Amino acid sequence: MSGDNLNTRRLDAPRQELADAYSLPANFLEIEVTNPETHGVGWRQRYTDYEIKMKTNLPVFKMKESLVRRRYSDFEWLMNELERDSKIVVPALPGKALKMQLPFRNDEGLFSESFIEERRKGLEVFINKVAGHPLAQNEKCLHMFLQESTLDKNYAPGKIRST
Amino acid sequence: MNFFGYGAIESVEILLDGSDKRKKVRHKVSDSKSSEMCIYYDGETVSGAVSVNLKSGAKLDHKGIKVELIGQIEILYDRTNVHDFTTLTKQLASPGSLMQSKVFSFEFPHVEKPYESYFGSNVRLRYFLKVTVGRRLTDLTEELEFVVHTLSTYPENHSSIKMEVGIEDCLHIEFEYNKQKYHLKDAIIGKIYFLLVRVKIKHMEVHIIKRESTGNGPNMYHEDDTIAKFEIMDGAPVKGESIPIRLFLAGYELTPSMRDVNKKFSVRYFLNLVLIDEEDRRYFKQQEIILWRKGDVPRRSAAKGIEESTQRFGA
Amino acid sequence: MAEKNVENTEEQERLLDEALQVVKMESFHMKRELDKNKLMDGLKHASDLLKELRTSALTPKNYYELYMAVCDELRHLQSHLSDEFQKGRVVSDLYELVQYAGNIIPRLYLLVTVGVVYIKNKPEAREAILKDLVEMCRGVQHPLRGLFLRNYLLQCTKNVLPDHAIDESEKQEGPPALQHSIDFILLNFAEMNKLWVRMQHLGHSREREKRERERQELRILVGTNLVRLSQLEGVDVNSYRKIVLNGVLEQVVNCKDAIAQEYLMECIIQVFPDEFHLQTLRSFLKACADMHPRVNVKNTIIALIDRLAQFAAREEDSGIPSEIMLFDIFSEQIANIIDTRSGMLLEDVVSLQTALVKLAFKCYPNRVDYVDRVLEATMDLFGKRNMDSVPNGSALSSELYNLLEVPIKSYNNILTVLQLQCFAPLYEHLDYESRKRIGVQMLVNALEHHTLLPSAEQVNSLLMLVSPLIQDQADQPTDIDMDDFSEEQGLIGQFIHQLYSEEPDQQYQILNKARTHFEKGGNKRMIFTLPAIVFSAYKLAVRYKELSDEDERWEKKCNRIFEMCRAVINTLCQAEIAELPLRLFIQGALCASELQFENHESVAYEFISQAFSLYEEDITDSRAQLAAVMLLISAVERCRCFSEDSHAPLRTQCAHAASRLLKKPDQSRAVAHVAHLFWSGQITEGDGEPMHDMRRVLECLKKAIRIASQCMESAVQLQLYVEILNKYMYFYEHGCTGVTMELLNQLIKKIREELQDIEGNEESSMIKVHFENALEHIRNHQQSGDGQYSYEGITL
Repeated sequence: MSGDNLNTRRLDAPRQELADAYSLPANFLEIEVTNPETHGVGWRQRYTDYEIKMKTNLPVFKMKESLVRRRYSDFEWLMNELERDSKIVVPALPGKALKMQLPFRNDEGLFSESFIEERRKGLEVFINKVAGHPLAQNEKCLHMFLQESTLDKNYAPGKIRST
Repeated sequence: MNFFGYGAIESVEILLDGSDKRKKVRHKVSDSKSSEMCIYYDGETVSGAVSVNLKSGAKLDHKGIKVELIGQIEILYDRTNVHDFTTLTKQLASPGSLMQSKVFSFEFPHVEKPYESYFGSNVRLRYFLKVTVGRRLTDLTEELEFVVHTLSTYPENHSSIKMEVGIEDCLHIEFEYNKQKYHLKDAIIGKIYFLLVRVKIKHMEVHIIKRESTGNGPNMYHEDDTIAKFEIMDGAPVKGESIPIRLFLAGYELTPSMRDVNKKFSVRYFLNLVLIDEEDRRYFKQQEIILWRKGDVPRRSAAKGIEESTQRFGA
Repeated sequence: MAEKNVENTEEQERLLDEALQVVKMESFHMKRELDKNKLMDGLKHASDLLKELRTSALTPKNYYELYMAVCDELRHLQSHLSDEFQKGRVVSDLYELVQYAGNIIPRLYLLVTVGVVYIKNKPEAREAILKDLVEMCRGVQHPLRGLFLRNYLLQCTKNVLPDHAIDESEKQEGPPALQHSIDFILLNFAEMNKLWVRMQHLGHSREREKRERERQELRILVGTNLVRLSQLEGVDVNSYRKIVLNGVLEQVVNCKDAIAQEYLMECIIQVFPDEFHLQTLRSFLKACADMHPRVNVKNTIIALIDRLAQFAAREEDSGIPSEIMLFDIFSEQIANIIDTRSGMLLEDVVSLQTALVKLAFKCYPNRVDYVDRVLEATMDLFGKRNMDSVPNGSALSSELYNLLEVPIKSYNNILTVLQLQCFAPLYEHLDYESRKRIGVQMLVNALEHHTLLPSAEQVNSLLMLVSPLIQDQADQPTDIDMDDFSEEQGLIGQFIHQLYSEEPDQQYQILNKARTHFEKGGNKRMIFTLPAIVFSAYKLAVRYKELSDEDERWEKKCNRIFEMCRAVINTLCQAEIAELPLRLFIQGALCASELQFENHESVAYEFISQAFSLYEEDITDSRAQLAAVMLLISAVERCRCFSEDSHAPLRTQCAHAASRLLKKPDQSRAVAHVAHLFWSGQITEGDGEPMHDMRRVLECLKKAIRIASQCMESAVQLQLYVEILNKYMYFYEHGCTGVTMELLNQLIKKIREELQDIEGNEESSMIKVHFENALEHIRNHQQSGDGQYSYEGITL
């Protein structure tokens, strides 16, 4: 401290290892929801699913890259599992769009391109929020949802690592 | 208070000895008002004079005049809960008549003032002088509040607060504050060292939180107040990054930490380190610090600027 | 606030406009409060305008615009504060006051601004403040915002960094002050480079290229640190080597980021003086070896070499200090780089070697061995990488071509090029087209610079190097552009004259060696090359003759030359063209005839008889036949070396050939021509006198007239008569007394008669003119009346 009330005190930083300074960030996680496809015909049979493409360098995930297909109801399932088993505040899913399911519409309703695109964006936001959550990352359901090709809804819930 | 008015009395004034020279401080008297008051310290004599001024030609019959020095704790949510922890009384005049204005000097020698004056959210601790002129129907009272600062001396303690905290496999940091106890004009010097960063951090802030606790046992009531919000990092660090902290305290409205004041309340301070990620999730760690008031070191007129500064920039 | 700057340009403009508006407004308020001396309120507005820099919405380019606007306003604040200081209005605790700003971006910009004002007015606090500023800036880890903040720090401190090694006034603490400046900039540089590299990882991975572009736009911010270091005048070679360069390279090498490395290495080269580079070559080049595999270090090294070569050229007096083994260092380090960076493309390796050769040439023009060392190293690398032949059109091919072209163009002396031991082996790796281009380059260069090749070995080496021009190559394409081909062969023909030694024996060796090359050239090339060899050989024989006094073996040598020429011409005969060898034989015969060496008669005879054989066997076109016969006749006429025994058959042969021509007019002319042979031909027995065989002359001419009369076309007939008239006149005037006036009158009369019958046209008028000229000639002689050949009795 200089005599002139000039307080320049600091706890000086230890020298950062150069390898660390220039290392890749250890928090890489990208999930894209893309490529919607509508399957089936007829009331209650027809549905749209999406490609869930994930890239990460987080060690908690078994695979650094994965690709699965999920439909809206799978997202709902994930949300319910998380709400039941974890303490996190699960973000909201894009709306159920009940109106879109009414009969006698002039457009394709649930299967119109614009609706699918809007829902796709919403799902992408949702899954990125969830997957980036340190506590959600402990939940088995999330890992299954993201990285296993079939979603076994009769799985045994559990934790990936202890908190 | 005086339903019937002053009657023969023009005014009653309490004057403290040497008040023109005594150090003063602005102290809150209500949530929106503050006024300048003299500062007294523990063990200091409180002396002065009470001047009873009569209207010209008037005569006052009284049942005695006294001055009291009262230390009082008031819990706000419970108006009945007013507790005087100190009451000293001096009789200034026995019952009789006063034919003209008169000045009574008084002195409370070496008054014990164990606590710091405090104006909190739910509790106030006040010191005041109270003059009572006993009258037939209603007594006439006049009060003068003064401020007590409790000074402490701590050895210049170099033991810092240093701790590694985090979420397993996600975020490990080590924070270090240079001391555990800071005086009110001190600066918190510290740093945050990142050991593992697997969340996408966006900002980091240090908050100063004041926790005022009133009541006891199951009736304990806490009120947290964020005194300062201080951003210390913008953006995402990687492993090995060390972020400096220098937080000057003088500009904030802080009091010394108080513990179990007269078994009525406590005021504690915490540094809350908050990391915010891109999804606006917050990761935080609170750490108590002890604030204390240091015996006065003459400082130049800086204090005013600092106070303004926090008002202007402070979050 | 996540990293989603808005793509849409319009939206960007709107956001920038809004931010600029706020800056403008807050700055207006700031200035107003400052004018009213309300410092605290002024600072409040400064802080508010600085809050605009917290945005994440702007692209780097627009953020830069905003930053510039903010900086302008901060300058105002800074000068206001400076004034206050100077007026003695102590603004105490300002440094603390601004640190109450709750947001870190405004807080640090204000801290820098105030800190610099402090330094200017209280220099004793300089070190503490500089250190504090550069450390406190760690709080901004956001790459873009951090880069700009630290750039602001760098800009503000520009004039307050002590930059002298030893200041007189602070002698004892001189060097440390400089050291502090260096440390300050180096730390700032390290932090900025870190942020710049980390910027790559911002945002979505699919936008990698966009971010690379943005990083390129921002690189100057990082580079400014190096500029600042280079502006510290106190930095000398020693401190540059020990502190500055080491510090910079440590970051550059360890950041492992191609964009950063490429730019910063280039930056180092450009901002620091060449004298420093010269003293730190090893460290710099070692760092090059450690660059990320994606960095094309070749560009960096070439940039450095270019700089130093220019330096050497510019500072011609001082030049490269002799104690710096510039070439050795470069070649050793480049070898190391190539060795370390196994992924380096061979074409890049070669282009490095090219730069090295250029350096050697510019700095050490006399050290041919340096160039050779580079070529050798290159060759070894080809070996190591099992590269035998370079594919046509590949980058490697053009790089190797560039490498080999350097010595040619630099030395402008192909003899020096030939001294390079490794030039040829390396050349062998090239593809056909490139080899050919190198060959052409060498030939053109030799011609332009009049370089002579004075020894057989050199000729041999060179001709190997130009062999794609000289003989067919295994790898040549099937289609050949005939125009290019003739041009190339013409060039070779010209070039053969550069094969020249003052020393005749050597010249013989040269020619003999050269012919062995050219003889492999095939029919289409030999016609361009072998005649030149033959002519050179004849010239050499003449030189031997001139030196006959000095060289007693000259005759044998001449013999050998003609023997060689005969062989060469015979080779040429395979090209299925007869006229050219025929002419060469005739030329050889004439030459031999002149030189009079021991065996010259038989040589000349042999040559002429070979010419006759060619005529008889290989010339079928009637015009060519006529031309050949005429040549043969003239040759026999002019050869003075034959005895009657040789001459007689040759004469007979000529007459025979002339009369056996297919077309009558040809016969007539040839037979008339034979007359000369009998008149001026010489035989050795004649003691240097011509034969003057009048009878045979007249026989020939009469026979010519007879043959002419057999021609169907009267115009042709007439033309022949006029020609024969001229022949008569020639022999008359040369003393052939058998040519009588009667003979002439008969012929003139005959021509006149015929002329009357002929129809008038261009052709006949030409003949008329020709005839009139002859008559005019006769008339002139008659009128001059000078006796001997006065054509007396000719009726005109």
